[in-house]
Order: sequence, then structure tokens, then C-alpha cells
Amino acid sequence: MKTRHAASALLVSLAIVGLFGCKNEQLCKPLGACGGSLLANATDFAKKDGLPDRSWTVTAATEGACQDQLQLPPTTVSLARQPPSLSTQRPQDPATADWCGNLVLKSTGEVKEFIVYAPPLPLKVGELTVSADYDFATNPTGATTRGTYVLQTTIDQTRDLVLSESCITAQGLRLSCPTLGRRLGEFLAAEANIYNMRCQDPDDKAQGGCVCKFDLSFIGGQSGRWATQENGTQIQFFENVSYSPAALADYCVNGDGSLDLTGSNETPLFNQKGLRTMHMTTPSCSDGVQSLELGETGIDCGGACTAQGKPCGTCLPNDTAPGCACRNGVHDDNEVGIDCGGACLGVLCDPSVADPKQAKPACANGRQDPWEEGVDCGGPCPTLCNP
Amino acid sequence: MTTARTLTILTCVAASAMLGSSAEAKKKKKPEPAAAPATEAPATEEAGSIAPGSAPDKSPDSAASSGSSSETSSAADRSEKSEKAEKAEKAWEAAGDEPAHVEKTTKPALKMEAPPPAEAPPPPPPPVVVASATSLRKASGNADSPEGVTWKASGWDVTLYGYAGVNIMQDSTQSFGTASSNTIIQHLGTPRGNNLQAQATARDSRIGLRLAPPQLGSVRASVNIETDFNAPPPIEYTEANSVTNAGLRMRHYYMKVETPVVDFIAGQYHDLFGWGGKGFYPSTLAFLGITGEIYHRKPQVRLSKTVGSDVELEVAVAALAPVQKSGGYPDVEAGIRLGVNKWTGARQQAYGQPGIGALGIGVSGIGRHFEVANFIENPSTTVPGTGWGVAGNVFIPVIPATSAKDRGNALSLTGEYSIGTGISDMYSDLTGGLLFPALGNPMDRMDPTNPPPVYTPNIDSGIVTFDGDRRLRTANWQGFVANLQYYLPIAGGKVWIAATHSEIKSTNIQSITPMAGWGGIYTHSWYNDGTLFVAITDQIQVGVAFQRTHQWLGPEFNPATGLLRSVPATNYRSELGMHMFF
Repeated sequence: MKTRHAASALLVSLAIVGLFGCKNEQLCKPLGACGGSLLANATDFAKKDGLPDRSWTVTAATEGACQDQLQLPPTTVSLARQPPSLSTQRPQDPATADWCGNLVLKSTGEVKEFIVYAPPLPLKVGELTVSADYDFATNPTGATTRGTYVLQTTIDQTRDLVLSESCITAQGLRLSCPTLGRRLGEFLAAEANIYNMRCQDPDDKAQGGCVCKFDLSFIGGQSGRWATQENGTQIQFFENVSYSPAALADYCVNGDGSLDLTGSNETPLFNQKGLRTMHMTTPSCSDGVQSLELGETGIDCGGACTAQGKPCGTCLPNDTAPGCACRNGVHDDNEVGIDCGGACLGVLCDPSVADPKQAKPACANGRQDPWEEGVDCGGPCPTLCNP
Repeated sequence: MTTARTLTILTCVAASAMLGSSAEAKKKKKPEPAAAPATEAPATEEAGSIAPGSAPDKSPDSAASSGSSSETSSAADRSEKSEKAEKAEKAWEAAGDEPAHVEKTTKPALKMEAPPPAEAPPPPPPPVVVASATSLRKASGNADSPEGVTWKASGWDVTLYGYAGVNIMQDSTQSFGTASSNTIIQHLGTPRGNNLQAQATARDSRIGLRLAPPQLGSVRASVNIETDFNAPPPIEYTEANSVTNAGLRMRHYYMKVETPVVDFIAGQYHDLFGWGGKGFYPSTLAFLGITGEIYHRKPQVRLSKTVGSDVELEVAVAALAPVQKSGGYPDVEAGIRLGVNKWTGARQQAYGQPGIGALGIGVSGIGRHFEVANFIENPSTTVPGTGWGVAGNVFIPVIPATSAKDRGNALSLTGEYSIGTGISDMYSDLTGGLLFPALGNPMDRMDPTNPPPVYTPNIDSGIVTFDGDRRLRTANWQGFVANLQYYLPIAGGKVWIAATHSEIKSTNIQSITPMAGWGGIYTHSWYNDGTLFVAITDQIQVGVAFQRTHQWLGPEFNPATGLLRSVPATNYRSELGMHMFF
């Protein structure tokens, strides 16, 4: 009798354990993988070679792209080239990062060395354009299975940087925070993706050091060849420049023309770290992307959008930039404020204005901001202050 | 899914093996004589003539930090005890941990009388236990307290105790070892954060030996050694080394001397901080210490004094091995504990055998001094620092019980709150991801013959670090644990449930970690569990548990808003534990 009770209890226990076994849900849930024809209803707008092209756009604002948690623990760089430890020796402890970013100042105050911490960043906007290839000409049914693609992406984010007092004074100099910002900006000018480096005193001046901000903008992408797989639900994307391994994606062309892409077997899309899924929609004049398919000359303006009452801004006589933006005295869709921020790379908007769209360039607001060395000069401003 | 099936098969195999052996034992038992008359005491013999076995630590623990449970004195029914029983209990207390509830008049215990003391020459060596396993089990009769198997040898009371068992668990991530404790959960999107993990371990099986010489006047002494198999795996790590060929680990090695003036412990024992081993541990199938629970052992010298009977007050102070060997000064701990021995309830510590414990309130503190190597490549000087902590503990029998044999409908609550800085080693496996920063590399040293500069700390990671101004900073932590255990009114409370909530958080770990390292830390961790225990026999217990650990990892930028946000991470664990105590 007792044994029977014991058996029952154990069986119940085992059943409970079996039921409880569970797995975490993916942060980025896989999208559909129904397949479909990528080039259905396509037109020749990109390559002008008589073969059809089609594009889709994605924006962070609509959470179209899902990326895994991006800020993973750092790799301990300083341990990479250490000699191996002896078997009886305690191995080196892992470490985080250097508080000072390896800041080295010359005696003139110029920055000799500085490493910016730039973790993987979320995608802001993107456009994927796929084009048919020569096979299409020999396949009148239009069942195109390979071709070329271009993925244009924009990553844009403001990052923080805190430098302690000892980092700044370690080499016998004490630059003011705005000057340090200018010096760092000069040093990082070679880095095409870093803009508007500015530093100011912390709120609590007693703690010393400088609090800095800078804008990271990566505009670029990749191109190469694509090919659908025999199962009809997966695409391989081959990249032409770095020749990295082909990235396999599950895809689905939905009834509304949108395209779902999911990295197959939990692999990243387009080999971009952390990028798992993209829900891409057909281009429109309000998607926040300068679409190639619509022939937009600015973001959501010009080209086909002109017919929808969205011409790009009025151009000044000597403007030559596409869309004539950044110097037209009005807020364009691709700007954060008036002729600043967004597409106006390196032009910082005045953060003191409540409505960002009404903000003008901070270096022209007629007062000395905390990161400026004088009124509208020094720091991140293009104008140097008079000595 | 496949892993879940494998786990089920594993558990089934374990279960059938267990059932098979019980059935076999039953078959074998029939023709066997009821007891070995020459070696065991009759079931009705008064316990006064023997020293009942002490309550062994039954709380399992992690490899890095560990501890055990014990039972507090059940002086509540002291007036009902015979003089001999009281004497036995004193002897038990003298032996180390305090006893669980003891049925003094009916307690059977293996009694193996040594040969009569010889005048000269010295007596022969103590006899070896020759009783069969069956007779040992029967004779030990530890129906309601984990008192082990006790016999007399050369006038000494010798107690052997422990348990053998297995814990089988499945996690939704590959973040934890067998103990979840305070380890960081792996990020989603990584192989370890996305995939299941199944483990089975018998490494927590335990064996303890307690020896108490004859009392000398009013001075009682004892020595206690206790081991399990949680020794850290060798550097050449393999699953076989870690799981199957586990090494023996020292848990408790200490001597205890009780005098009318003061009591004295010397050796490795639970920390006084958090009143370890005094009945404040939660009832759970999880290995202690759980998230936010103080759980630590250290070599120490402790002085304590207990006064009172129905209401007892214990004051203790201890000097312990320093947190770093080059600390220069010992850690110092002190505490005061109040016990109301007439207010008792059912109490299980971790997944040990339930006993009876008295209402208790404890307050304790710790102070320590650091001398941390200066934050440069080859330091020759140190930076001083100070750590401290305060903890409060309670055990409240909400629905009292007076007998461990009849504990049905008993409800008890345990709680702990702790706060401190530079004391993360007091919590099992806690670093929160805090590391030392990397040294700058202004010379851009990258050549293998001139590698980048590395800081070599002289203290374990997670306790202190250096901030951006190279100042020594201690990590602040606050922990909280609440646990309820309710014994169903079934078969005298042989089926019971337990639920736990605990958490730990840091107020400064983010500010003392460079931004680039935020992805490797957590600021807050939250643990919940629910467990169903069944005492299948007096010695065999089975527990099934579901445990959830949730952490707030270091912040990252929200892709949609560009603002900082905490990154959540969760691990779900289902666990089955089967243990047989002796």
C-alpha cells in the first residue's frame, strides 16, 4: 500500500515536472515564412535595365525591425594578448572597460588618442531594393528566383560619455569641458560617423569631470546578390564587398505587399549583429525614408511625392544639396529642427526649445550654451572663439 | 521539447530505480529479524542514556558559497521532559547545532555500547557498526528529526548523519549551475539565453560526523565535521569531472565548547551575520542561498552567551577569516537573538526534514576592512576600504505546532532583510556582474611581447571596484527574503507546500561600472518559487518545485525611443528532488 502511495506521488511529481518544462519566448518573434514572389508587380526604377525592381522600407518608429538586446557584456580586450598563465597560477580576472577611453592629451591640449565606445546600435530606417537578373529575360512567367539587392540603412543615435576628473587631469592639463569637447571633436573628425561632440560641466560641479554627448550616424548598407531557395520560403543574401557568409532569411510577401524577413535558425539578418526580423512595407510618402522607388529627392518629398503635394523645400539660389535642405530656413521632414539635426549632419539643434521642430542651430542662438567656449563659438560650433 | 522528454525519461529512470529498491528492501525485510538485539536499543528505551544525534545541516548549497540549516532548541516542552531526556538534549546542543523536536520517550536510536571501560591497558578501539543497513534504518528511527545514527564508543557519543539524493532541474536558459542563487541570467538572443538546460546532480549528498566526549563537570565539548561533494571542479573541466567524479568539500569543521560562563566555537561554521544555522533559512527545494539570502561559512572563533529558558536571549560575537587574505584584519560579526521557546511551529530548512522550531528574532552585523591593491599595472601599495552590513531575521510560527509528528495545518513564516556595502560574498555567487575596470593603454601596447597592461586584484571580483577617479568603491546591496511553509492536514502534515519571494538590488553598481560594461551587470534580481513536498516515508522525501528568477540587466538604449531602459531577463526552472536522510 505504501509503495503504491509512493509510486503515485512520484508519478504526479514527474507529470508536474514535465508540464513545467518551459522555454523563454524569443525577444524577436519570428515573422511569417510563406514565401511568394518578390518581384510581383515590380517596375524598372532602379537599374533602368528593362528588368523589374522593387523596394520596401522599414523604420524604428513603427518598430518594423526587431533587434536582440544589443548591449552585451564587453570582451576583455586587455586579456587578449596576455601570455598564457601557468597551471598553478591564478588566471587574470576579466575586466570591464577603461573609464577614460584611453584618453591621451598632447601638451598643447590636442587629443592624441581616444577610443569611443560605440556598441551595436538600433536601426533607424532602412530600404531594401531587389532587382531581377538576366534569368528573368529567359523566364517569361516572371518566377524570378535570383538577382541583385541593395540595402540602405541609417543608424542615428545620441550617446553619452562621462569623463572623470582624473581622466582629464591625468596628464597635467585641465581643459575646460567645452574645450575638451572641441578637442575631442577635432580628433574624431576623421571618424565619419561621429558628430557634434560636446562636453559640459556636470550638474554637480563638485564631482568634477565632464559630461559629454555625441551623435553617432551610420548611413550606408550593403549590396550583393540574392537567391530564393528551392523550398520557396527562404532567401540567401550574398554580400559583395566583404564576401561574408551568405545570410539565410525566411520571408513572406504578404497580401498587402509588405515583406517579412526573419533570420533563419536564429541567425542575424544580413549578418548584422542582433538584427532578427524586419517587417518592411511598400514605400510611401510618409514612411520617413527617402525612397528610391518613389524617386524622392528628400525624405518623403520630391519625386512621386510631389504629385501628392509634397515637394521638397524651397531652395535658396546657391543650394546644391539634394532637396536643398539645411539652408532653407524651414523645417524639412528629414531635419530634427530648422536646418539642424537629422540629415543636417553635424548641425546641432538648440535643445532649449520645447518643440524640437522649431529649434534652430544651437550655434546660432545668440547665447553661450554650456558646451560652448563663447557665444555661439567653440565646442561643437564651427566657429572658433577669438583668443 | 526533446530536452524535456529526455528529462522525463531521466526522472522516470530515477523513480523506477527508487521504487524498485524500496520494493526490494521490503521483500528482503520480511524474513529479516526485527532488529539486531545485540547492537540496538529497544524502541521504548529512554533517550537519556544515549546522546541523540544532532540535527545535521540539510540545506544544500552552491559550490561557491554555502551553508546549512539546523533546528533551534525546542525548550518549549522542556518541562514535560524527563530529566534524562533533558540531559540528552543538552548533550545534543553541546554537539553543535541545536536539536529539532525530539520525542524523548519513544525515540529509538541505535545504541552500540562500547566495551566496558578498561582500567589498563587502554580500551580497544571503538567498535565498528556491524548492523545491516536495514537495522540501522530501523534503529535510527529519526521519524521527526534529522538526528542521524548515534552510538556510544569509548564513552563518546558518535553520531553519523546526512543524506543521499538527487536534484533534477530544467532551466529555460543556460544561465545557472545547479544552484541559481545570484548568478546573472544570460541575455536573450545569445545561445545560452535562448536554449533550455537540464541538469541532474547528486553532489549535494552529504555526510556528517559528530563526536562528543563525556561531559567534564559542567563543560561540554564536541566536534563536528560535515562534507558534501561540491568541491569546485578541476581546471581541466569536463562534465565527468564535475558531475560524476565530484570532489569532497569541507562544509563544517569546528569544535564547540559550552561552559557555564560562555560558549565557544572554533572552526568553519555558518557566519553569525544573518544568524546562519539558527533556523532562519527558508523552506525550498532550491539550493541555498537563494537570491538575496545571506548564506556563508567561514573559519571563525565565536563567543556566545545564552540566558533564559522560556524566553532565551543569545548574544554572540565572532572574528572570521578576512574576505581577502591580505586584508590585515579579520572580519568581525556580532548578533543578538531572541527565542520564545513556548511558541513553536513546524519548520523545514531548505529541503531538509521538517522539525519543530521556536519563534525567533535575530539581528546581526558585520564589519570588515579591505586593503586592495592600487589600481595600476604592478601595484606595490594598497588602498584601504571598509565594508559593513546589518541583517534582521525572523521565524514566526503563525499557526503553531508542538510535535513534528503531528504538524498538520501548521503554518510558519521566515523572513530576512539585509543591507550593506562591500559584502557581496555573503550572498551566494553574487557579483551582479561587477568587475574591475580595465587599465588604460596609453602606449597602445598590443605586441604579444609587450601586452596591454592588466590590473591584478588581490580581492575577489564583485565586492569592490574602482570608479572613474580611481577611488575604491564598495558595491551596495540590499536583500530581502520571505518564505511561507504550510503543512497540509494530511497524514500528520507529511505533505506540505512552501512559497518564497526574495530579491536583491544594488543602488550603485551601475554608477561604478563604465558604460561599456553595463551589458554585463544587473541592478535588481527577483526570485519566486513554489514547492510541494511529500514525505513518502519518515526518511524519504520528494519535492517538486517551480522557480522563477527575473533580473533587470544593465540599461541599454531603446531602439524605438533612443532612451535608456533596463533590459529584463527571466529564467524558469522546474525541479524534482528526492532525498533519503539518515
